[in-house]
Amino acid sequence: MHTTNDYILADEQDSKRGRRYQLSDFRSFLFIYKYSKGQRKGLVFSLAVLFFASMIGVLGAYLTGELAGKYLINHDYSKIIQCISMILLAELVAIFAQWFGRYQLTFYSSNVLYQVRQGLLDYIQELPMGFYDRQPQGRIVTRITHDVENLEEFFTNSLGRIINAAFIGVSASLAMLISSPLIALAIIFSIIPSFIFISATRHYIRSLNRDMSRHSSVINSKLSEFISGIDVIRSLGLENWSQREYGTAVNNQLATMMTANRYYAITRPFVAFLCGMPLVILVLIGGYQHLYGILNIALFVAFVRYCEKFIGPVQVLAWEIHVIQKAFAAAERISAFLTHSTEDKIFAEDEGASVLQKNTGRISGKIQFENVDMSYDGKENVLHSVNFTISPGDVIGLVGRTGCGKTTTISLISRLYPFQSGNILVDDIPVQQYQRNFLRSQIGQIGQDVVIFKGSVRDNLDFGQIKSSKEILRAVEMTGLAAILKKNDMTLESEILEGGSNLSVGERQLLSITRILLKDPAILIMDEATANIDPYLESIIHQAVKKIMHGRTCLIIAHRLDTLRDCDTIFVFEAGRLVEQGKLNHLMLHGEKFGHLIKAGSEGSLMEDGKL
Amino acid sequence: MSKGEVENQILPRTAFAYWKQYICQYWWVYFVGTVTVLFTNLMQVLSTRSVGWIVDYFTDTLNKEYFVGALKNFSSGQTFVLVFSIFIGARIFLAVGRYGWRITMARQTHIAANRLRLLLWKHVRFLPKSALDSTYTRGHLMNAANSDVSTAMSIFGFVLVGLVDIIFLGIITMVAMMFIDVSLSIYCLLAMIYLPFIVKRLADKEGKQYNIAQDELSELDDLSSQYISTMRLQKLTQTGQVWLQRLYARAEKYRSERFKAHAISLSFMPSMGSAAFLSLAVLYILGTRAVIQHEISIGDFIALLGLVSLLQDPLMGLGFVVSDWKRGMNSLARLLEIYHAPLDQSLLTSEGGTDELPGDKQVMDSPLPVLDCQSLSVQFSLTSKLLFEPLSLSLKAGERLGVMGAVGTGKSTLVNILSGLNRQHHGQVLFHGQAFSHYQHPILRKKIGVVAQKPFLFASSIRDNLCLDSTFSDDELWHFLELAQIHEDINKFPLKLDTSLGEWGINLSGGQKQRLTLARTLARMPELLFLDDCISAVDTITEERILRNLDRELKHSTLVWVAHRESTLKYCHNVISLDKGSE
Repeated sequence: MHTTNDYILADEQDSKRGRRYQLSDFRSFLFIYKYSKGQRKGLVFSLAVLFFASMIGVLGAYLTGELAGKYLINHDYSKIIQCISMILLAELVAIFAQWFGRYQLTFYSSNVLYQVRQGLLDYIQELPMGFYDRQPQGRIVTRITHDVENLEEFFTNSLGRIINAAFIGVSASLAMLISSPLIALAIIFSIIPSFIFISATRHYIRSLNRDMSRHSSVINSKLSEFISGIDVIRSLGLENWSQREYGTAVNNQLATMMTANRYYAITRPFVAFLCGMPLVILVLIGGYQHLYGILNIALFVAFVRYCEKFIGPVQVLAWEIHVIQKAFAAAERISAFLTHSTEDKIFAEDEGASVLQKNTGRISGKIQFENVDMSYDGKENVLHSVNFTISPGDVIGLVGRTGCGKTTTISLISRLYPFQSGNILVDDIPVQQYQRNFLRSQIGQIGQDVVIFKGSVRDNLDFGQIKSSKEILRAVEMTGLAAILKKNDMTLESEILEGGSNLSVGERQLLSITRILLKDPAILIMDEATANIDPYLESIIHQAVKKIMHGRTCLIIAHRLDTLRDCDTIFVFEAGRLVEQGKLNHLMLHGEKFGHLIKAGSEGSLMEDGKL
Repeated sequence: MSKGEVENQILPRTAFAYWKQYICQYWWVYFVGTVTVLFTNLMQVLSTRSVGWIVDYFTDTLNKEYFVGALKNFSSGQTFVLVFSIFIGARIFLAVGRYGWRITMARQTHIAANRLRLLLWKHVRFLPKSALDSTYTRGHLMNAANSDVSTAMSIFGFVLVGLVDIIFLGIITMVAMMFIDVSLSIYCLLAMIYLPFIVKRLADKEGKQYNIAQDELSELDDLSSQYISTMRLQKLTQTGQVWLQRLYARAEKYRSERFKAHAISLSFMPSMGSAAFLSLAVLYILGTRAVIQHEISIGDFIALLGLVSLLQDPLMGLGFVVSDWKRGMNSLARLLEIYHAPLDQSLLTSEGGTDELPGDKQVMDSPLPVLDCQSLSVQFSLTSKLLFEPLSLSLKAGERLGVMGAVGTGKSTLVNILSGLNRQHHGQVLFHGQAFSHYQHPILRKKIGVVAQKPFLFASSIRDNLCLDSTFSDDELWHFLELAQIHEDINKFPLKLDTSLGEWGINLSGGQKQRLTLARTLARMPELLFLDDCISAVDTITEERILRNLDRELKHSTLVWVAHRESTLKYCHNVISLDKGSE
């Protein structure tokens, strides 16, 4: 929750820097049309109902005029009764048709918005990894949360009101134009000042609203941050400081609220006054006509009712203007977001006319790098002509300081990024010629972060639900997860809470190892980090890892010396180059860079538990 | 009133008492506000009524009785000017009246919200850790700050405006209608008397459903953030589709809850519409009969039409006001519960504590140990098992103690106890010969530094993160950054010290965060420093440099070094182990 507010804050600042969003720019809404599939008929139907309702409503106003101006004066009883029943019927039909139309419109537009959400989520899945490295995460989150919410607010809430009001306004204008074009024109023109006023103040109102939401975001992120950081606040004695910081944010918000309140105090009543102009003009015209004896009282009364209906849309517009503006800004940001290149596009350049697109079978796990250069930003190389060959079933340890290129090397095998030059071959076939999803399905990853869903243990082990219970049970036995489940009184059907909060770090780790065993990948990548796992589980996990390593090509980002003992070959990376490689014993004796790393970690005396 | 401070008056316990106190404190604002709302209502009724007079004037049936003879001698033109002036004047004064209540009551609403917000952190910052972990969790507090404050604020203004509106607009409209025709007015009112009850029921339902939808939205947003932050892992583990299915389901759940809320809002239309319809039906049927029988004029009839629709507002308003009042009071009560929750007394600057501590020179020469503890032990609250064997130790100024132990042996708990942050223990801990309770919280925190294992940084610039409540020159900052071996990293950022951190700034690695939090504590030059496995994510070469820097620079400081690896503790004079069975 707190983070969302940060994003909104920064995003608002972004849009401040960017150009102003123009109300006239309807093009940004076009992308929504694409997502309205299956809902269009319903939308058109609800609009038709609303239009019908507004026409009926106007009919009621017209009949009231007739009633007062003709039949009541003439005491035409049968007409009066007829007229009254018509008016009442019209009012009743109008009320329910309006409600039904709004209900339908809200239903279908909420479906459209759901489809927009779905589309955005799909799109995010297709974006390349490089995109996520460049974009602050907050900005992407804002697109699918805050921006969609603004659109939603407009489409499911304001749109119905606006359309309804607009239809009534149009119907009322039409009725007025038909009954008396001259008076109608005078009245229609008299509404123009309020339009001008609303239009003139819309930019300022937008900036006011932006300021208000920015200040609320600041308060929220401050509060949320202080709650998360309460330990730091206590240990550094920052209680008073935090109250000052928070207080400043709260008081700044109050100052903005006061400004907005003063502004609205003047503009809102003024708009309401301007909206009353048609009625004033009507009375003046009536007075003039009365003076010359040409007043038609039926027409006048009908016009009084028309005016009330005609004023409605303008008042709705005045109230909803900031929602409309927010929706425009959101639409523009989302449609701009949808223009980023997808993973398919990025890799298409790289793959060129590759034809093979291998996507079936099982690979053996041979990996070759031939003079691979790689740069994330196209300027600075993070890998410099890296060369190596890994035979199927080899266990490779990768060592080096932070940022030396270990992680990049591994990412390239999984084809998370395109690379600039050289060749990467898996089973003697260039990685470009594999279907990406197939290649990734052949690679298993064990790291500190484990994806755990809310759901049963079984669902978490086998997402696709393609394995038989027998297979799952065997795998669970093999990794030792069975024993842990038993100890915790859990079965395969037991529920795991969101993010695996009812499991310990080690238990989650064990679950992910079992999952990989079931997936049976040819290549295994392990980021062995200094996770805090209790000793009992650590040994079980160690055993499980040993078991699943068997028969697979393994790449281990190693932090401990004893991990390296199990490796066939060790690669030492430094500043994007593969500087040394060999067996552990060999490197211990002859590896200069390797020796340097070892020495720093242990001062020679703590080989057993040295960090690398 | 300085920024961030709330005047220190006794906080009433109940929501109603708090409300009453606030209203009494600003009684003149509420008085003026009530008068302006009243004035606004009068003008509103007058402007509607005057349209009726105008129609009467046009049909030459204007009842001149209203104008107490003033019209008797008026020409037709003069009469029109008078009636028109009343009409336009009412509309102008209506605008003035609306301005009036906005700058009084609406303004006061925001001020009330401001005070409620200020009070929140003022109290929460001193809540005991256990309360924050269990009762007043982050979700609870964020909810209080957002939804409770914005619901509660309305009873300090908007609800009151509504109330005055209802009472006066209702009465004035009724009176205006009575003047036209008594029985007709009563029938119209009877036709829509059920409105407030329906509105209240719907408003309650609506509020609840919007809260449900809002909670769904927060869940969806949380899940969406997770979805994006784990993208790399999803690509590697091919779990994207599973995520998508879950997100679709959440989005659909939210869509349907949100739609339900909208549907309730929309159901106001037929319920209020039908009330309007009924009263109109009464008016049309009985009213036209009255016109025909010359009991009322056509203008009166038109005015009644307008007044009946005016009367709908207060009747509906009554339902809303009752519902808002109830919700506002409930929210205020929830807020007051937080404001009255018992505080952690050790954090408060009480009268008894002292700010006095011996100077550096004295400390070095003093025979008293900086830290001394006797048979210290902690129990698990549930099992009453001891976390570690009773412990006794004594630390002289400048001494370095190492603490070792595997995960779960209570290292961090020990650090929190020895640094005075956690006082739930058995046995005795003395700082400069006195119990922690002898000292004020601020002075303890100034003298004792703790660098935690999990780094926490604020979402501001690097400079602000280092300075916090103090001021340091750039040279000083760079010095401490170098001690923590993070100076090179920061030098590489284009904005250097002004680089901002957090989701929207640079994403530091775990090791960088750890080093920065180390620098932050070093800058405060604590006399007693606890390092709780705080450079675990730093590579070995850098770690070694940091260790050497600390040993060299902090000669006069007393260090307690916690690690789960012995290599980290090589500069320590003594090492104690918390592992079971070994001492």
